[in-house]
Amino acid sequence: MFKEEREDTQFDWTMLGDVTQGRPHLGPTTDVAVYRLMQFTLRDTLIKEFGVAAADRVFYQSGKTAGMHFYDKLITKESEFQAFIAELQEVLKSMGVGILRIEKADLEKLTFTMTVAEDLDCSGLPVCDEEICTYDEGFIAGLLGAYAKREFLVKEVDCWCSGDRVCRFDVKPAT
Amino acid sequence: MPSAVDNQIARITEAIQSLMSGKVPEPIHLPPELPEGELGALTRCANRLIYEYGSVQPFLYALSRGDLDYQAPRGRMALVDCAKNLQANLRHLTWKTQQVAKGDLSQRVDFMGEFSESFNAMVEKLASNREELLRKNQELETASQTDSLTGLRNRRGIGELLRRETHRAERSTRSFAIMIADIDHFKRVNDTHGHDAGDAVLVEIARILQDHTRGGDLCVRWGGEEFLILLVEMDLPQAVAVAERARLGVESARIMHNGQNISVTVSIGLSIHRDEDDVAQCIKRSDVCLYRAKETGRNQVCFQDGSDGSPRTIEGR
Ligand SMILES: [Zn+2]
Repeated sequence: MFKEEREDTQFDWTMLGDVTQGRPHLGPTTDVAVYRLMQFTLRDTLIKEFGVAAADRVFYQSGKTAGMHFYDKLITKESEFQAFIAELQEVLKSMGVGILRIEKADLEKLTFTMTVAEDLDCSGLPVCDEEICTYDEGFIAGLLGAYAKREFLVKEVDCWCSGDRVCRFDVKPAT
Repeated sequence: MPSAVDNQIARITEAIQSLMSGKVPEPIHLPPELPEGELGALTRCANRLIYEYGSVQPFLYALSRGDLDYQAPRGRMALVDCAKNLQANLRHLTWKTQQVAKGDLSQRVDFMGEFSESFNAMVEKLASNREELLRKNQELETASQTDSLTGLRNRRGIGELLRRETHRAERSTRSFAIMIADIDHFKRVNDTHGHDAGDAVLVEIARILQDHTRGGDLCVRWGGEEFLILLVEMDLPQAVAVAERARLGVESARIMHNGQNISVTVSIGLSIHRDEDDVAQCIKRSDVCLYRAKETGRNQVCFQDGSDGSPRTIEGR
């Protein structure tokens, strides 16, 4: 299940298990530091083993898979864009992922500028002139892709790590 | 004669004074004859200030002009940090306002202090105004289609309902009937008892006719003392029976007005909608039947039975 060789993604939400049953005393939440410990040691090892570009690809792709499943599992289907965004904002906030906001949205060209404040991945990291939220890029691409049923390209243009207070993502259709 | 150190300190002072007056000076060089160390560190700090101020100033000017697309300087700088936050807030606010302009009144703001409260109050007010307007429109629409005396619908807007019923009947195996009831010698009631009494009679007849209809039927004040009733899902014998019961109901009613007992009767014309009909033709036939009922003695139901096409009254009455 978890360790089979594979050509295509085999991820399934059930792989996350039954947290209520599994953690009756500790509950469903954890410390953000633990999440970041995982993310940044993983990045460290991926870069060491495969290089920066490959590590970025891994983060983007896994973020995208996560975004698609997140949409499938947690978001109401076939709603209007406004309602979709409102629900997404609510869910991301309540799960402590970040505060999502829209700055620009062109529903005809399907281009968006969105920001995430208090981001789980990067808010509070040392400033280093890099955009670091590659996993978020993929996550947004997966979410919007599942909603609009098409491929999107997402690029983080400002990040806490590059000196901003919010992470800013440019979204456009992948043509 | 000032020393090289004094000159360097003077250059730094001058640069800082420039900054304080809003001008961005050139970076300061450390002359090679001067040693690094404290003076070098001071020069570097001053240059950092000059650089930050130089990048921040155009951004702040752009922000103050409302140019929200201006690219904020990169990197974490104490001076620019909150301004970037403000820029992000204003951009999001702009988007929210655009959504409100498009009619999405569910937008709320929770990140701009007192402004948030005002924005939210404004949107809530817009929403309640819109609701109120819709409700008023609905009321006006209803009022304009209601006869104020009897509370029945008037002729306005009936065309659409009749057309809808025609379409429904065409898809169904059951037809509908149209009956037109007219109060006999109504002018006499007005002349004898006065117009208030006439009004009371109209109200009472409307009530009796309505009592003989079911939920889906339609009861309309068609004209002065004339009422049109659409009976859904009826064949001719059923409709004739309803009309006859309504006629009897009117005949037996004693209408009290100012201590006087008033009796009236109605004549009724009736026909069934046929598949090839438009609704106007069906009304026309009911009208012809009504005319015949009046002509041949009043206080009776006259109907057109599809087979021979001529108006008939109930036999044996
Ligand atoms: Zn970021």
